[in-house]
Amino acid sequence: MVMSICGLIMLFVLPELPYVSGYILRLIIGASIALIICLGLNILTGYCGQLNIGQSAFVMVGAFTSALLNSKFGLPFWATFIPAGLAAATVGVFFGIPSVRLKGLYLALTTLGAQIILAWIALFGFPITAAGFSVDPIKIGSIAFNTPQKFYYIAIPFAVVMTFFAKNMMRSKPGRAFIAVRDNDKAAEGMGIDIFRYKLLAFAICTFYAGVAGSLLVHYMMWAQLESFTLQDSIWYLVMIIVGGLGSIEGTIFGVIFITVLKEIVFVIGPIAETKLSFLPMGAGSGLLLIIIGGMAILFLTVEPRGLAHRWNLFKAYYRLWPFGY
Amino acid sequence: MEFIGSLIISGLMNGAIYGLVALGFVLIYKSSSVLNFSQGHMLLLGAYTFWFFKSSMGLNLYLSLLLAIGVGFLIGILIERLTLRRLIGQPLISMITVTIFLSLVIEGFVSLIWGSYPLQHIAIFSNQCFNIGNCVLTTQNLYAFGLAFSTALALVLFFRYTNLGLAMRGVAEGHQIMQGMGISVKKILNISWGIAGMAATIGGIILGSTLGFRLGLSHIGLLAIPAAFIGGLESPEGAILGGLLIGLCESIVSGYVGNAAGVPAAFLILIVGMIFKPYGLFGLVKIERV
Amino acid sequence: MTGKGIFHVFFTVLIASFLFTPLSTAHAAGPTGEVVVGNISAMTGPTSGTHMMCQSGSRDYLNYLNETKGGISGKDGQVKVKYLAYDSQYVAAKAKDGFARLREQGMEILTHCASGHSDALMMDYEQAKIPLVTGSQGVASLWSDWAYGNYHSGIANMIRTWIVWQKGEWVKAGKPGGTLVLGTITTDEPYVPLALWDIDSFVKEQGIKLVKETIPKGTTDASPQLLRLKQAGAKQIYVLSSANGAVVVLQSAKSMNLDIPLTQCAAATLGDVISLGGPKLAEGYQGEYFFEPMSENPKLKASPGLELARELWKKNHPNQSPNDMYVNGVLSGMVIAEGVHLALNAVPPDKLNGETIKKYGFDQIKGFSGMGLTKSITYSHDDHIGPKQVRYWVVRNGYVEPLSDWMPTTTFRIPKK
Repeated sequence: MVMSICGLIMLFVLPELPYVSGYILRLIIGASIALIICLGLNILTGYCGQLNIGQSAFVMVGAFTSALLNSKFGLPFWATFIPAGLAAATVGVFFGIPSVRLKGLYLALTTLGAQIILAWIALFGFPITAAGFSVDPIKIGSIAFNTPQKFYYIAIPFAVVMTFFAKNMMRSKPGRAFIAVRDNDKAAEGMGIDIFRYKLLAFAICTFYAGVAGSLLVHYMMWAQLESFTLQDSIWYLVMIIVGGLGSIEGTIFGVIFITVLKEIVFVIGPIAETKLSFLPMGAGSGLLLIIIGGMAILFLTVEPRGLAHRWNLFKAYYRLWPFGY
Repeated sequence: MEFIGSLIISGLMNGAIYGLVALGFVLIYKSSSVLNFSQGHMLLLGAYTFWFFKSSMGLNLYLSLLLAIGVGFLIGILIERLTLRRLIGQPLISMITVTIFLSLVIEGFVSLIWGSYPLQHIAIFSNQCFNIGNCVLTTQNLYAFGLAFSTALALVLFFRYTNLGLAMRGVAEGHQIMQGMGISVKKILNISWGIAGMAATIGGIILGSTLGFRLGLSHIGLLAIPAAFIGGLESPEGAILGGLLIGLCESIVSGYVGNAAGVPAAFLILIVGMIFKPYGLFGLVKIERV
Repeated sequence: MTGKGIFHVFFTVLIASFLFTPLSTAHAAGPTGEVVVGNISAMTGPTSGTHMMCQSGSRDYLNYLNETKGGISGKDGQVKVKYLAYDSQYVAAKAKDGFARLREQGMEILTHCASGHSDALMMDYEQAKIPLVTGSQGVASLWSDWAYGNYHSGIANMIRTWIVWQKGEWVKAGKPGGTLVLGTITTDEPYVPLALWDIDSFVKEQGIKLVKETIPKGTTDASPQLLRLKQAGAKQIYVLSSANGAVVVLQSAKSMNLDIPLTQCAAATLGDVISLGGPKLAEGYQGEYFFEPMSENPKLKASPGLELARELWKKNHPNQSPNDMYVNGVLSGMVIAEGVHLALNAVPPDKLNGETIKKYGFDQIKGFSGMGLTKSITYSHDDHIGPKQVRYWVVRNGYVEPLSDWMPTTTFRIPKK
C-alpha cells in the first residue's frame, strides 16, 4: 500500500526532475499509450486466448473517429474519446463474429484481414485520411496539453485508470470466464459459460481500449495520418505482451517498457553506427544493430519463454521465501 | 473478354508464387507447429543469396540457381537448429515471437551485407510473348508459373509417395509417436525446415527477378499466409490451391474495382469462406475432447 | 552461467542503458561556431534505401564543407556543421520523438527527403521555429512558412505538369486525333491518392481525357492494365509508382511490345530505374528531373555542382553505383549551406539559430542554382516550393538524355484542412 502511494507520487513528479528531458517524456507517453493498447490486447489474447494480429487497425479506427469528429465538427477530445472507443469496439465485435466458428490461428487470420481491409478503407475510402491532417490538442478549460510535459499528465492518469480497470475486470466474473474460454472452451461451454458471448465481450473490451488509445494518440501528436497504423505495429504490440507475459497485467507493463527501450536503441544508436560504418553499404549500420537487438531478444526468449512477468513472479517468490527458497 | 483472360493469367502466375511460399509455411507448421512469421524474410534472404551468386560472383545462371537453392536449404536447417530447437515444449506463442524477431535479424543481416538500397536487376526470363487472341502471355509469366507450380507439385508428390515424406507427415502428427517408431525427429525437423527454406528461396528468386531485389520482398511473404490458411494449415495441396485462389482473386478484383482492392477483397472472401469451412478447404478438423 | 544468471545480467544492462540515455542527451546546444543539422528519416525498413541516399548526400556535402573550407562562412563569421540523425522508420510518432531528441541536442535546421514527415513534423518545427529543408515536399508543408523544398513542387503537381507538357506537345503537333487521351498506371502506395487529388477537374479544365489503371503492389505483372490503356487509346502513360513498380510495368510493357511511351513520376528517378532494371529494360523510358542526373552521359557537360556531387559519391561510396537521390541530398545540403552563409552575412555565429537562419538566410535565397545543379531556386514570402522548374529526360543506351528543355511546373496546392 505504501509502495503504491510512493510509486504514484514518483510518477507524478517525474517531469520535474532535472534530467528528465522532453525526449524521455515523449518515450514515456508513447509507452503509456502503447500500454493501453497492449492491455486490451492482453485481455483478448492473453486472458481469452484469441490471437489478434490486427490491433493497430482498431487503434486506427478510434484515432480517425476522434480526429474526424474534431476536425469536421470541432468536438474536443473529452467528447470524442468514448465514441472513438465505441466505434473501435463495434468494428472489433464485427471482426470477432467469425470466432463463433473459427479457432486459434484461423481466427488470427480474421484479425489480419481486419488490419488489411481497414487500412485499405482508410486509404481509399476517405481522401482526407491519406494526406494526414491536424488535430487540436486536448484542453481542460484554458490549458492546452500540447507539449510532452503537459500531456504527460493526461497520458499517465489514463494509463493508470485503464490498468486499474483491466486488473479488476480480470479478477471478476468476465475475467474468469475469459480464462476458462482460453484454457478449454468446450469444457467452459459444458459448465454453462456462453463462450460466444464472452469471446465477443473480449473483442469489444480489447478494441475499446485500442480505440481510446488511438484517440489519445492523435490528440498527442496533434496529427492524424494513415502511416502511423501499420501491420508492423500490430505485430510489435503482440511481441510486447508476449515478452511481458501473456495473461498478466504487470507483464504488459514490463513488456511495453522492455520493447520500447529495445526499439529506441535501434533508433538512436542506428544512425551513429551508420556514420561510423559508412564504408559499408548504406543501411549496414542499422542492419548490424537490428541483428544485435533481434539476437538479444531471441536469446531472452529462449531463456525465459514465459516472459518477464514470470521472472518477476519467481523473483517475488524468491524474495518472500528467502532464505528458504528450496 | 481478353481483359479477364489476361487478368486470369496474371493472377495464376502471382498465385503460383504465393502457393510456393505458402507451401513452405504449411510445411513448417505441419512439422513443428510453428507459425513462421519469418517466411517472407527467408524468401528475402534466398533471393539475395541468388543475387550474390549471379551478380557479385558472376556465376552461370543455372549454377547460381542450384547454389542458391542449396544455401536456402541450409539456411532453413540453421534457423531450426539455432532457435527452435531450444524452444521445444515451450508455449506456441513464444516460438511465434522468436520467428518475428528472427525476421528482424534476417533483415538486419541482409542490410549489413548488401545495404538497404535495392540491388541491380537480373533478368532470368527472356521477354517474348505469345498472343492468344488478344490475350498476352509473356514468357516471363510462363516460366515463373511453371517453376513455382512444378516445384510445389514436386513437393506435394514427395510428401505423398516417398518414405521420407511419410515420415514427415508422421512427425506432424506427434513427435513422441515417431520417436517411438524409431524415426529421428530431429532429422525430420531439420529436413522440413530445409525444404521450407528451399521453397522460400525459389519463390524469392522468381519474385526478385520480376519485382526487383529489395527489402520489400519480405512483405510478399505476408500474402502467402492467407493462402496457407485457405487450404488448411495441414495441407500442402491446399496451400498451392490457396495461393492460386488468392492470386486470382487479387488480380481480378483489382482489375475490375481498381485501387488495388484485390488484397483486402481476398481477405474478405477468405473470412467469409472460413465461416463455412473453419479449417480451410482441406485442413484437418480438430476433434476436441474435453 | 545458468539461464537465470544470463537473464539477470541482461536485464540489468538493459535498465542501465535506459537510465543512461537521459545523461547522454543532457548536452545543451553546441558550442558557438557550430550549427547542428538534424535528419529524421527511415534508416531501417523498406523505405530506407532512398532516405539513406538522401541523408548521405546532405551529410557528405556538409562534411566536405567542414573539411575543405572549415565550415560555412559569411561576413560576420564562420561555423562548422554538426550533422545528427534519427531513425524514424517512416513512422510519424517516432519522427516526433526524434525531433524532440535532436532538438535537445541543439538542432537548428531539419532536413530529410520524406514527404510524410514534412507534414507530420510541421507542428513541431513551426512551434520550435526550426526551418526544414526538404527533398520532398508534403501536402500541408507546402503552406508552411518554415518548410523549404528543393525538389518537386508538391505531390499533386507531378502529373499535372506532365499533362501540361503532353498537351503542349500535342498542340504543337497539330492536335492529331481530335482529343488527347492520356493514361496513368499507379500502385497502391499512400501518396497516390494525393498525386491524383481532384485530378478530374484539372483534366476537364485542360480538355483532355485521362484513363487510370492500378496494379497491386506485390504483383509481378502489369499486362492486363497496360492492355486496357492501349485499348482506350492512350497516347502516353504516366507511371505513378516507385522504381520497383516501374520495373514491373516496364517488364510487362516490353513483353507486350507496347509502343506507348511511358514516363516515370518524380517518386523515383530514371537513374534508379536503370540501376534496378538494367539499361536494356529502361531503354526509351521517360522521366522527370528537378536537378541534373548523376548518369555519366559522355555527351553532356556536367555542371560544377554535378561534378562535385560525383566526386563526393566516389569518395564516400567507392564500391557502389551512383544514385540520383544522392544528388537530391547534396542539393539540400547546398541550400542549407547557402542559407547559413547568407545568415552569417547579417548576424554573428553566436546569434545563429533557427529563426535567424530562416529570416536572414533561407528567406533571402534568390536565383540559387547550386553550382548549376538545378535551374534556379527562389524563395519568396508565400512560396517556398523550390526550383519550380522541371526537365524531362529519356533513357538512351543506358544514359539519360534531355527530352525537353526546362519548363515551369504547375503550382497547385491541395487545400489546407
